[in-house]
Parts: sequence; structure tokens; C-alpha cells
Amino acid sequence: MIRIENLTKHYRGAEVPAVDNISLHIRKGEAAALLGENGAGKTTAIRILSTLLKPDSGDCLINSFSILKDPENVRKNTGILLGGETGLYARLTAGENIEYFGRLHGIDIKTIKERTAMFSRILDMDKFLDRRCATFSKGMKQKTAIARSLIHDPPVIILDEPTSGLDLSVSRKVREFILFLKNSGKSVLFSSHNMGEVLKTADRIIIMHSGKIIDSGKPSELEKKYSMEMEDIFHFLTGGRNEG
Amino acid sequence: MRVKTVLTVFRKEIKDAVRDKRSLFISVIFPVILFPMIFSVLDKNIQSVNSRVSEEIRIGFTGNGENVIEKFLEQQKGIILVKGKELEEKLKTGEIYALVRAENSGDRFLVNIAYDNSRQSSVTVFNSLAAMLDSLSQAHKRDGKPEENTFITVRSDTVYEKSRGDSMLIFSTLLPFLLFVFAALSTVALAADTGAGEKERNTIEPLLSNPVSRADILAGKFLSLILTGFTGTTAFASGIVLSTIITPGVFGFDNMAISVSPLSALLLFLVSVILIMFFSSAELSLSLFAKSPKEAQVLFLPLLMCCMSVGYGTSVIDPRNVTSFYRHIPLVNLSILIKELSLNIISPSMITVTFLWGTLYITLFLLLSAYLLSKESILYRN
Repeated sequence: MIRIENLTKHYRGAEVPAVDNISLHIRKGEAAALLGENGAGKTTAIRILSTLLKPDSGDCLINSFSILKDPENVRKNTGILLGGETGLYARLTAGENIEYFGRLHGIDIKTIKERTAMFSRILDMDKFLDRRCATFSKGMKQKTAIARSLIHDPPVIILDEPTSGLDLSVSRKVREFILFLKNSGKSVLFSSHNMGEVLKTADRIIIMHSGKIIDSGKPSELEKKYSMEMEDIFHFLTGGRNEG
Repeated sequence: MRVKTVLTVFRKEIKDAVRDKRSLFISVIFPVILFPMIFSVLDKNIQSVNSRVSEEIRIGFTGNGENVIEKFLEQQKGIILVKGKELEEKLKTGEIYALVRAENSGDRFLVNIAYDNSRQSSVTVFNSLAAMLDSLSQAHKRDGKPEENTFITVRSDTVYEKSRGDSMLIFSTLLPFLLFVFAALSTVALAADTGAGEKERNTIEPLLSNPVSRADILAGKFLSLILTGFTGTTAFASGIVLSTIITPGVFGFDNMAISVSPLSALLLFLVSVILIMFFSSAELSLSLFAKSPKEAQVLFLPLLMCCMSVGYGTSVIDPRNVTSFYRHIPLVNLSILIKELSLNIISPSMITVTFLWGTLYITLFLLLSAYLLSKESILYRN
């Protein structure tokens, strides 16, 4: 469960807040998508939930643990995939990257091996699990990074643009994996630019613009409310501006 | 090759370099300020040591009967003659610079000057005394038959056998500089990678999203740097030792004759560990501050310059004449201690003071690293 309450973050020197008083609640077994243009505040919100950034005000509870008061327990209960570069250690193999994070989570080696084998099977990683990451394609890196983020079997999963830059088949694999996680009872929050991906994967869409949540709801509810298709709703609400 | 293209690339590179203010400051402005500062401090110390040497040269003296040499030396400005027992021991401990034994045999004198050939200042004093006595002898020269009628015959005696004294002098001069360079350089690559490299590769964020304390992460990185520094320093030192065995001529003597006592060797090992920890902690904090390994290496430059300047500058200092003020200056105190230990000079109070300062500096650098690892604006700055 994720409960965000009045979260605000203002970067020093910036004119407007990156995240401006947002609140939302994501239940167990629910997949919610943060949809917004570049600079909308999605990544900042995700970094705050990951305890990498401290909010100026507000709080967030991850499985009842406060990001401000109990960040260590928040990290234990959250699987985080950050956007952009996958952040793998190039001189380690995929398996070693996953094992390193498993050990940092205090998981015994037998469980790490079992879970790595499971992820390898689900995400088709068998062929490159024992290879060093330096020569990996974007898709191979992303699969490794996802497995690494979830090695501790967290109840809450936060993914920042998990399919960005991936080819169609890997994107599809990742989407299927998000659905698998959701159906396993995890709370999943992911950000995306891709409307098609969001519609196929998310139970709920949260539209962000200029640091604010400007609307949220099930795709069908939003389409009914605005009498438009989702893509048109998004352009209508965000003014069709691309700030990236 | 097209000159126009070469110049275009050249102009772009220079423009790029000039716009990197930090690199520009560190690589151009900083050395211009740093080196005069360091060398003026060192020069001040050397001057003070030299002035003390020239103002009060304590020389042991023994002689028989009415002794012209004794009177002559007493008349010399700055020379203080020390008489009594245990003069040889005083020469070894550095209380006196040389020991003059003047034997009167009729109308001639046989003068033996003993000096510590492992100390540059003692060697200098010996040369000065020999020159003075030679000029005195010249003044008494008679009948144009200097060989037969030499008034003063000067002989020398050294505390250590020649090859051993030379070895000790060179060893004590080179060791601080070499250990400084080894300890500082062996950790540079990993230090740049372990902090700034994590930022550049974007591995720092996934790492910090684990449920581990930042102190644990820092401690793990620090330990890896110490091990790397220790391995590198051992490899460097092994290379030097091998060189002294294979090609001793390069170092100015036929065979290496160093005798470091087991206690001195143990203390030298501990000083090396402190030195490695000092550079590891300093480089770790600089690396955590830097945005990229390239910037980290630029930031390491002042540290390496300080290290080399201090290592080189203190090589001429006689540890037996250094003022206590220098025991409190980082690196300088370690350099002096290395020099002392290489000459088997063991002063528990000085060792304690130097180790305490070393521990304090290391702690401060680690606290700075912990601060930098918790600072959003430093961790995620672009």
C-alpha cells in the first residue's frame, strides 16, 4: 500500500515546485500509472518515495512506514527501478549485480539463487545471467535492473519509465511482468510517457502536470468524465505542451 | 592532415578547458599559489634549523694539554664545545654535530673529526670543520714544505661504516617521499571510481535505495580503498627494494646496507597504514564531492601536489632538529616520523602525537564523506 499525503518538493533555484502538494493512495494489488510530460514531477515524486530525496513538506507511507520517520523499513518494503540509466555495475555479471543487492537486503544466498532463477525464467535472462553487464543491450540491462530491484520480494513496487528505450518484445515482456506483479498482490506504481502501455497495464491513471496531480481515475471513468479518448484527455488537461 | 581542422579541434578543446573553471583553478592557479606557500613554510623551517646550526654548533671536544685547536674552535662564532663523558653517544643521538679529538704531538696536531654520516647536518658540519682547520693549518704553513711540516693533520671517523651511512642517509631522505607517493597514487583510480564513478554510472541511487545505512556503505568503500592502497604500496615498495638489489648503483652506492630495527620496522608499517588511511579518506571525500571520475581526478591534483611537495620538501630536514610545531601539521608530521623511524630514532611522545593527529584527520575526512553522502545537492548535482 502506498499513501502519499500533501507531498511537496521545491529544488533550490527553481521557480516552481517540482512536486506541488500531491496526495494519492494505491491499494494492495493495484497498478497505478503516473502519466505526464517531461518535467511534470513524476521522477521527483518517485525519488521521494524511494527515500532518495527528502520532501519539503508532506509524507508518504509505504506499507505503513513513513519515508521520513522510518526510511530503512520503507526501503525494505519497496522495490525501486529508477529511470534513465539502469545503474548496473558493468564489471559484474547480471547474476552478481542481483546477488549484491540481495546481500545488501540481508537475504541468504540460497534464496537469492532461487529468486534469481525465477526472474531469469520469467524475464528470459538465462542466456546472459553469467555475462558481464558492460556489453549488454538496453533490454538486457533493464531486465537485470528489474530483477535486482525485486530480489527482496517487496510488497510495493515503484518503476520509473520501465519500458523507456526498449524494443517492442522487451516492452511487452516488462508489461506482462508488471501485470504478473499486480496479480501477485503487489502495489505497483509506475511512470510512463506511453499511453498505450498505460492503458494496457494500469488500473488507474494519475495525470501529473507542473508538479501537480491534475486528475486521476480508471481509464474508463476518465473517458466517461471528459467524453474523450485518453490521449485527448491528457492533451486537454496538460494544455498539449511538451516541456521536455 | 588539415591544419584548419586541427586548429578547429584545438580551439574547441581550449575553449572547453577554459570554461571548466574548477579544472582551470586547480591546474593553473592553484600550483602557482600552493608551491610558494608550501616551500616558504618549509624554507622557514630549513632556515630556522640552519640558523640554529650556524648559531650554536654543538661540537664534542677532547684534547690533551695546551690545545691551540680548542682555543681556535672556541673563538669561532657559533661553535659551542661540549666536553665530558659519553660524547660518542651524544653524537649518535644528535646532541652534538661532530666530535673533535685533538692530539698534541710536539709542534703538530693530529685531529680526528667523528661525524654522523647518516645525517646531512652532521656531514655539513664535518665539512665546515675540516675547511676551518685546513685554513688554520695553511696559516701555520712554513718553509714551503707543507707535506712534511703540516701543522694539523685531519682525519675523519664516521658513526657508521661508509656504505651503511650513505645508505641510511639516502634511505631516510627518499623513504618519506616514496611512501607518500605510493600511498597517494595507489588509491587514486579506485577512489575516483568508488564515489564519483557511482554517480556517473547512476549506480549510486539504486545503491542508496537499499535498506543499509550510509555509514555501512562508506565503511565498505573505505576498507576497499585501504586494501587497495596497502596492496599498491606493498607492490611499489617491493619494486623499489628489488631495484636496490638489482641496480644499487642507481641509488649511489654499491650495496644497500640498511638496518632498521624490528620495532622501527613495525612502527614504519603502522605509519604506512595511517598514511594509506589518510589518503584513502581524503580521496574518498573528494570523490564523493565530484560529479564524475574525471572531475575527481582534477580534485585529487592539489592533494597529490601537497603530498609530493611535503615528501620532497621535508627530505632535507634533519628530524633531530625539527621544531615541535611541525608535529601538528598534516603530512609534514608523518614525513618527519617516517624519517625518524628510518634512522631508528624512536620517540614515544612524538609517535603518539603524530598518530593522534593522523587519526583526527582521518576521522574528519570520514565525517566529511558521510556528510557528502547524505547531501542531496551533492549526490544528485548535474
